[in-house]
Amino acid sequence: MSRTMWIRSAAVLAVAVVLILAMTTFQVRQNENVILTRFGKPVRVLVEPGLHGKWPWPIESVNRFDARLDFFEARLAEALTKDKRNVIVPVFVAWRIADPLRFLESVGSVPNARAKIDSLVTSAKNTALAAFDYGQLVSTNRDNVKLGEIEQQIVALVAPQARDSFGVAIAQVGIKRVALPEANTESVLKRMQAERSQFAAKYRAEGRQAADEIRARTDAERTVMLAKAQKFAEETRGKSEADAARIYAEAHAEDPEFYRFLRELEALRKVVDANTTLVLDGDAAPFRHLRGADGKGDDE
Amino acid sequence: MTSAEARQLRNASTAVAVVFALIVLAALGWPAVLAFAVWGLIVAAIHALYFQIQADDLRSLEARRRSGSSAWREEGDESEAMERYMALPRFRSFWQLLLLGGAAVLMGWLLWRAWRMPVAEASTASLQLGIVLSIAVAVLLSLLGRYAVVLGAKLETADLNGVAQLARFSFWVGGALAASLGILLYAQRDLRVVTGRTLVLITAALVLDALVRAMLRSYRPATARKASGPVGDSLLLALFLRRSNPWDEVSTRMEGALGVKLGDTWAFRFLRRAFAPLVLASLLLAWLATAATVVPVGHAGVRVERGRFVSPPVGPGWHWSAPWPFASIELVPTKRVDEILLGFERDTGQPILWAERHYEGEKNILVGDGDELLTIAVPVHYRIHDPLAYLMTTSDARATLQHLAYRELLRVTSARDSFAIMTDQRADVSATLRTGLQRAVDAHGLGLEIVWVGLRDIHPPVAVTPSFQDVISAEEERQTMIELARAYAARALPEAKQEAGRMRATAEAAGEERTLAASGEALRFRQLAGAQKAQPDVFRSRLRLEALEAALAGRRKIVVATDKPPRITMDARRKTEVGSDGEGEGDE
Repeated sequence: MSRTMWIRSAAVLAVAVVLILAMTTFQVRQNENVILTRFGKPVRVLVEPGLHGKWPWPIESVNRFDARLDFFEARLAEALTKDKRNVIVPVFVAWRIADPLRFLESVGSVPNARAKIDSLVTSAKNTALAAFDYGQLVSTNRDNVKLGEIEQQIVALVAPQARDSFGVAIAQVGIKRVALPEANTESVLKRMQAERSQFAAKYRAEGRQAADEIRARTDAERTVMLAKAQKFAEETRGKSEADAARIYAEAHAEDPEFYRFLRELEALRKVVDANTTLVLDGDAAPFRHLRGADGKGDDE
Repeated sequence: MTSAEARQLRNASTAVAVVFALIVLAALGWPAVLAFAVWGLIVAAIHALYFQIQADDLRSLEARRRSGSSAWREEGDESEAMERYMALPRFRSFWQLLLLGGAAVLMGWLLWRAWRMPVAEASTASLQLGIVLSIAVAVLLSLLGRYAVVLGAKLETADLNGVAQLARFSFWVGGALAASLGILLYAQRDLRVVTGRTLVLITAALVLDALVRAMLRSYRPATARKASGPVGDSLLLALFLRRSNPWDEVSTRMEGALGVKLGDTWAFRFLRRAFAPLVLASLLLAWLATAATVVPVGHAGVRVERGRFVSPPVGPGWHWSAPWPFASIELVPTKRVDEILLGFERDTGQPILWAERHYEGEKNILVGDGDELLTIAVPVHYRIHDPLAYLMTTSDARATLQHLAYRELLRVTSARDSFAIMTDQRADVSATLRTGLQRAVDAHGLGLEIVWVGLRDIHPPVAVTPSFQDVISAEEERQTMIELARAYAARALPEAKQEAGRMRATAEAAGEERTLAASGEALRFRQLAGAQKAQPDVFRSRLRLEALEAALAGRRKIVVATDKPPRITMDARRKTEVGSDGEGEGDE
């Protein structure tokens, strides 16, 4: 045989060996389960990891299933609480395949299984929620909140059914949120707005009141201040008036007769003004000279 | 070639394209159907057109030859017809390239889309139908290829080589489709995606091949350039579809296309002999290479020996294992810190302002006694802490963490008041969230470590935010009003004080003035009194007369200087009249 022929035979042999190995062996990984079927009939369930042999396809075929936890969120559904309030409580479900054979027979694939578990969980959730009040979902009193109990109830309702029907173990059902339907959410938002605007109004009123108080106090203070000043002024004036009177009195008391004389003259000056018409006796002091006589002298 | 033959070939091509599209419909779904239909129809149309025109030319040539007209005229006509014959294929090959390229791009795009789509649940019947149709078309195409070869030999032309190659290529495509459908039906392995991508790659390679050849053609001598190559001819197809040694084929092809004799070079002879061993050796090497794994920095490698995860994981560096499929090393990025975000679906990258939408799909959470809503954005940083647990517990750790984190967030916030969460309980909320989430993760054994939990953004829902901001405004307004009143006080009080001061000063001054004036007058009086004591009569007379002067000067007066007093009538409105019966003088 020539060299080329050798190489060709080796290549063909190698390819054949690889093909045969590929068709007659399979591996089970630690995180998966395998069911071997022979013409559609399950013959072996393999959950332990390792390399295994089989008849080539189409005699025997390998069905692999992920043995790990699968988490998914159940479809959103509105439910009613015991006190007849509508709530939306999204839950997630953690499950794994517990019985691969039953799983293969009853659902066969993960999307299918999710759909079935979803129905179970949603129905169980609505049942569980109907036994609790709204105040047990959300409350400022920590002891009132019963989310854990609700989760446990859902698991208790779902787990046996899921195991028996689908070969699925429910590891956990968890409540992710508590929400209200759109219309109720609107009302809550409105209520929050109203609550806030009450505070706004309160602050504004407080501001007005405080400002008015300060203004009034200021005005009062000013009035008092001015009145005090007025009082002082009056007092000062009165005192000086009195002083003046005293000074006058002291001075005039020294010669009252002369004071009267001077005062009379002053009064005379003041009383006779431009509109006064005087009828005078020609014999009086300066006029007696009008008669040409020397007069009897300036008496008085 | 006769027109009947040309029509036959054209009809066959069209039929092939249509049936081809039907198979793809069953196998790959709508986008791929469209792509392959477009491609098939374009190829069929081009070939139909090409054969039709060529056949017309030949027929007219034949007719003229038979009619036996004059020699010079015959020659002229023949050369004219030949010229047209030479020109037409070249023109068409340009359009062919353009259309093929466009079709390939379109097909590629559609197939990538199909690849991203979830695998539809194909029914058994449709799959079986698809397989039957695929095989039927493959056989049909194989026959077409043979027919083209025979026809080419009969016409003594190489023009049909390209058609033959395309037909044979399409035969393999049909076969591949049938095989992938069969595998899907009987072994539950979905190879449609792989098949689709391979077809895209091959088509792209064919288009590239044609383009390169069209470009290289311009470097050849004018005569060789004029004789255009057969439609659909391809170096690549020739390489894979001919039965002889592929390297010989490449050599002759290159010679034909480029005018280079590759067959004579040393390298080529070596390549030709070493081809098969080289291919085998490289395949073997590729398989052995699966035994070596480089674990990059920040990663851990988990040995998988016959399906079992082996503890402990290996660190970064070069590691050996048995070759695939007996063992492998899976890489897990243990040092990388990843982030999940709770409370919204997508970050728009806008500034985080309460009154404007900054995240898409923000979720409101109920707090207080279910009467209050808050929008919370919580980033959670985590890393893989135990790679084995990470690989064994769940298929999607990230989504799992997201679910668990939402649950913890609800637990932490549901029993708190919204203002407390927004203000003084922030630190407590994030710390509680972190420990709670770590506990939940450990309970499932996810092998993750929660590095950090933050409350990036807590605010009331966007719809309520204006009310919240209004409260702040109101508080500010309250302060403003008080400040304004204080300003009034600050202005009014000093003014009053000033006024009071002025009043006091004025009064004091006036009082002083009064007292001083009195003192002055008293002094003057004393002086006068003192002065009059010496000569009281003279003094008094002087004073009296001075007073009279002052009082009487310029006044109206009547001096009665007679002994017999006259009658005087006083009328305030009129001048005073003095009767003339008496003596006297009126002085006015």
